[in-house]
Amino acid sequence: MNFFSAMEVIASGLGAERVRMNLTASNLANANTTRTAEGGPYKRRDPVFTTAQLDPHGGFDGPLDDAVKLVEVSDVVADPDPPRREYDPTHPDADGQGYVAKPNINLVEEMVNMITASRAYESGVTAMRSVVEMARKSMTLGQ
Amino acid sequence: MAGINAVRVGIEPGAERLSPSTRAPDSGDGDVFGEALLRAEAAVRTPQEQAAGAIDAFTQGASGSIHDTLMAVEKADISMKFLVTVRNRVIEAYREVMRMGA
Repeated sequence: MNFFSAMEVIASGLGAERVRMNLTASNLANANTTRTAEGGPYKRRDPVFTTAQLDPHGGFDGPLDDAVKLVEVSDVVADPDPPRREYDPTHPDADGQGYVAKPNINLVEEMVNMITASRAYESGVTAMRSVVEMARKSMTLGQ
Repeated sequence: MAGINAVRVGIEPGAERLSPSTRAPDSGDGDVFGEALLRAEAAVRTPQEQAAGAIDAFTQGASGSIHDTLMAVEKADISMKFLVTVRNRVIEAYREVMRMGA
């Protein structure tokens, strides 16, 4: 456990939030996609975050490395909610009754996820900055 | 007293003894100032190389991770500042010893 482990932990969090932002972008971009490779409309994607073990750095406080966990994206799951049904008989993908199966995406929910990811990223950047600042401060001990 | 003698042995023959090309870093001949500097320099080399690699990977599109690249740069910067701080202290200690005779 040293300054660099704090930086690695924060960087893993930044990476995870970036994945979440990418998935939100994908959800927003495909909010009206009715055709996919696996058939049917696009399904909302969500990341699943899991803790991961930090590489032990050793040293006399090495056992403390166990307490510090990285975050990683272990899976991306499709939202099981049913597709939104919209009445649009002229749409090429409309069924016999004139309904189109649209992706199960709620724009408001996606915007909230986007803001959450962006704020979480910001807090990670702030934490990283303060770790660097701590390292610089400790350097002044030697001056 | 043995420590001070070791220091004197290291200093007296002249400055060229401090350069890595003229002597092995672990020769154990008591050149403590040179060894301290060489050890600190070795500790900085790895982060410097990693930062250079991260920048190459990012600019060539092999890695899309801005924060990982900048973290590597920041690590290199911190270890470089550390080296400079240690170097300043070592030089200061060397001058302190040189002033002993005056």
